[in-house]
Amino acid sequence: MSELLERIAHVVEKGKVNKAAPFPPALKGEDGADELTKRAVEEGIKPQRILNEGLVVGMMKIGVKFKNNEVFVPDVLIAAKAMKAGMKHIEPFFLSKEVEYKGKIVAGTVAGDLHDIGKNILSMILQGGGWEVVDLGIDVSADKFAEAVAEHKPEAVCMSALLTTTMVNMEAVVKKIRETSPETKTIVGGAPLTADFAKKIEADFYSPDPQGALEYLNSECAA
Amino acid sequence: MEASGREAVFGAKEFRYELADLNLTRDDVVEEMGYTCEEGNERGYLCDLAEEAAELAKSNVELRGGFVVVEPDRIDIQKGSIQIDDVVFDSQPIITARLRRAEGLALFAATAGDGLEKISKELMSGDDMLKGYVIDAYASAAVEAVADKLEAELERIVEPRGWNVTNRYSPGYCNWSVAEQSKLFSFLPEAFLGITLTATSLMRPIKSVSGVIGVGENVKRQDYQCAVCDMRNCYRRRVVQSKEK
Repeated sequence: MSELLERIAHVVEKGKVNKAAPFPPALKGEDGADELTKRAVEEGIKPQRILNEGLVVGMMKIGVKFKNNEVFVPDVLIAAKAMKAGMKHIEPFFLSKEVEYKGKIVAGTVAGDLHDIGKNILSMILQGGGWEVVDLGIDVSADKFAEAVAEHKPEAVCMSALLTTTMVNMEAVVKKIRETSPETKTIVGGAPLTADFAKKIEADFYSPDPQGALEYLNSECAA
Repeated sequence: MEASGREAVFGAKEFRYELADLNLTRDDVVEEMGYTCEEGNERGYLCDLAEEAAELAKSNVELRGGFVVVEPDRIDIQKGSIQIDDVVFDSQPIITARLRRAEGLALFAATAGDGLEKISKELMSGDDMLKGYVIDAYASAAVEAVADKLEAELERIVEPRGWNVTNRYSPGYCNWSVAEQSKLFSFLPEAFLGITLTATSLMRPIKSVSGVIGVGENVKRQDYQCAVCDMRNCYRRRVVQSKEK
């Protein structure tokens, strides 16, 4: 891996968005993901390499730390912001097909549930892992999930719930996806869930953290 | 007031608070997120954002709390369940073990209003998720601080009888199903504090809490018993762990 790509991974992990960003203090005045990614493109490094060996590596590192409780939500959010700053220089290459996502995900918080922070973090970790995410928001019905699957043809649907009263609504989504798009994987997560519950509703996978969902997608669904 | 001049214990009471009443510090908010504001902390920016959230909160919170204290002859506490009148709460053994000596039960609710929730959602759906998240954490800390104030009010009211209070316990924690929130609200006045419940028992405004506190001569506050509970992502567990670091 080139030194520049290693540097991109480092600033994403640390959440250094751009040179002007005041945090983290240890990187004050140094280039952030914005400047470094731009430079990598200008130096002719292939955009797919910049994504896979720079930006994604940084997000993977923070995702693993989050999974292991070494860092908390704010570090993930700030890393995602740095990732986004770098991605704006890569995005034009998606149109020209010089860069491709690993696949597509439809994500949402299930019907009756208005909590979105967990689902947002999941979306950021998956995007940071090289997946395209179609975020349906909160309070998403089984029909709405199914419509989005028909339209976007994702590799998987990720569902989140924060309440015991709403996690039961995941069952209808899993059932609907199985009926309408049996090849699409269903992944469930959220504070009150357990692996037993996921098994009971016949979801394909349960992960207690976003990184687990990303690792499952990378191993089971990546193109 | 009761005949003796003491404030009546039983019945409904409501309180309004100003932000300054809560003594909520930026450290409380940053702790809520798993970090601290100690000198030299490389995440000092979180402390700055918590201060910004405090400024915003001054004109965007509505801090209200209240409780209804239910008389002893209406209560039957068994292992894992609490019956009040003809309503049975499946409150789980962790909670009933700590309430079983109670002579009265205070059913409470508290809210920080929906002002900060709206600001947070707007920021999170835009380009400043971190600030949105810190504001959300501030609102969570504020509503818990209102609940702390309620506990203190209750303690003040029952103290002349020689009574103590237990910790507060909420549906959604210690394996007590959040669905039971609707039973709890059936004992509170209509639209209490402006809080409503969705069909899935979610309180609106979201930054609200509800629960039960035991009162009586032979009850006491205890450390939260994370060791006996299997909820890994519980708010209380995070706070305890954060303080232990």
